[in-house]
Amino acid sequence: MYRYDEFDRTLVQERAASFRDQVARRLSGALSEDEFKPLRLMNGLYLQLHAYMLRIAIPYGVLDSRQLERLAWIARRFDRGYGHFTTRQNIQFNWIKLPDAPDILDALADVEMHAIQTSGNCIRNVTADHFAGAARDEVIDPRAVAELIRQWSTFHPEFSFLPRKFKIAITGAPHDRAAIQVHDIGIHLKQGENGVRAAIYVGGGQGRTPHIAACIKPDLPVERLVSYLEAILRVYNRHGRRDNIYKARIKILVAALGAEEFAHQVETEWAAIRANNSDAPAGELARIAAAFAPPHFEALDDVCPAMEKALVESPAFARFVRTNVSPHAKAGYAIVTISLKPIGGAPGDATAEQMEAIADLARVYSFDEARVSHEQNLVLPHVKKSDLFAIWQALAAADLATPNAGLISDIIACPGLDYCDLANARAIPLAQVIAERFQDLDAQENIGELKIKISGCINACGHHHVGHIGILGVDKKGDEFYQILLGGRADEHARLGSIVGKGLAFDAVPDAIERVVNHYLGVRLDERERFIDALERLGAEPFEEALYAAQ
Amino acid sequence: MKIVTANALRDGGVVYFRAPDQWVRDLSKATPLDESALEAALAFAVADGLHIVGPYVVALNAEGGPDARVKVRESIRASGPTITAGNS
Repeated sequence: MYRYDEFDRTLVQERAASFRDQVARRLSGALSEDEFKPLRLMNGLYLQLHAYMLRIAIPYGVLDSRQLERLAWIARRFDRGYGHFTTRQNIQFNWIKLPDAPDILDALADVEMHAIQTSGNCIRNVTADHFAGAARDEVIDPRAVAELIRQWSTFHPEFSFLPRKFKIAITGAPHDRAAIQVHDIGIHLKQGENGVRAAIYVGGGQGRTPHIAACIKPDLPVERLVSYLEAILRVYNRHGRRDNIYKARIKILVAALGAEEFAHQVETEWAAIRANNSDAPAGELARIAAAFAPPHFEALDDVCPAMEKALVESPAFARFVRTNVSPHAKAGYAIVTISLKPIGGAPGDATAEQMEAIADLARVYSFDEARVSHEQNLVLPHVKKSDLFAIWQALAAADLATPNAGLISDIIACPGLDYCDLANARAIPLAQVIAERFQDLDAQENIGELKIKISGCINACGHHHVGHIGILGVDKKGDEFYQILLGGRADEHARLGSIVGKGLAFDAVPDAIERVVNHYLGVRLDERERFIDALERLGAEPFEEALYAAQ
Repeated sequence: MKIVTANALRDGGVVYFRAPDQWVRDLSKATPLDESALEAALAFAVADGLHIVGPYVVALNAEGGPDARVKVRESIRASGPTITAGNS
């Protein structure tokens, strides 16, 4: 893991100290709310329906045990004993008191954490493939580049007041687990003949006007990445619309100009700033990359007799391995997805005790590393196959062994109207009733990979545009209704789902989803044809008919 | 009739205006206001930035509860999340 140097440490400590002063001045009345609000937002402190919510950055989703334990401590000491992991690989605490916020920032600074870049019209916390440095299909570990972008973007003076917020996601694997094509900038690292190259996607995003990003630079030398990003941001900063908040994201600019013209303007800008030499100095990326060197893996056979034996003896363990364990780049190792989606639970929530249990497991079994996925789960990235059975038992003891990763009950849901000031409808309770409807584990496995994503408003924090089944909560004269979208996906074949028909009442949604799923089960070629494959083969229409069959 | 609501500055909790000059946590203790009283209540709220944040007006229905158009949101504000959180 990357460790703070003196610059990082000083910067984060000074930021916490200045926020302490700002909070004191707000509480004394020296600052009005109008003066204070932008200051608290710059430190991740939002005012929601019932309390302040503190959003803490977890850069590219990477955590160590000490940090997880500190989050658990914060949950217990300052919140109600739990936290909520988000689709931005961050964590949010929902019940924060304003006078406590400076103490929390100090406690975070102690473990090299902060709440910077979690709000405002700046470059937000960069997100990445949660299997980075571990996945068997990975070509380039994206974490060093992600960290370089973090260092470049934090408090970047030119890009602190952009037309709107700006999100960058990065992967180094052919299978995109980071949803890069629905970000303002998506970066796909590849191995070129003469070093690492980056394919740059621009203008993706969800929200009110969703767009899939366009690839404007397929083969950028990674050494030139920072100056190229700077050129993109400069074009956006100059021409992005500041007159209309709904048209201010870069996706609107790229769509208005056309990707080709936008790319042309970026090239012109890039040439103009070349003399500024704003790329990272030679050797800097390598220096950062050293912090992400692979841990000291043992030389192991990929076949592990102890695990094979346990698979035969324990069907429940075998099920967990089928659903929640992924291939590791290193023989004899595996990646464990810890589902934060127990049937009937709130997607992404974890108690202080659960965070501590995961911290223990990371320390003992996973080289002190854990990850947060944008699908609101946690990950132990590097575990020995021979330890999987013990890990599974420990997870089960902490109510963390739900074997549903990637299945229909592994639902993304934003906080929705239960917490969020922007929401129009609740999202979590709908996720709960859908998960309960499909709780039978055999049935879930039979259905196979199916991604349901629920947002409580048009801002799409719940990624409904790219759900195989997306659900958008809307307000109709005070009643909650839910529009269903079909056929979205966030992987390397990213596509936006289309809204089908009229909205459904809360109680009607589980039946409607079940009819669509049953239709899929009836028409799939065999069990290897996933829901999304069948939908793309047959078109959305028959699925839409099934959705409304009872009406 | 209408009420004035806001969030408390220190803990962000939901508060309601109770005439003549109080903020209470319980919706049932909020003072229903007619148009003439509303203006003074809002002026009090706006001036009371040391205790509350973001005051606004909620219309009431005939029974004295939040109007149908804001019923779900204001019920959740009044009673808290409709879910059990934390997943333990």
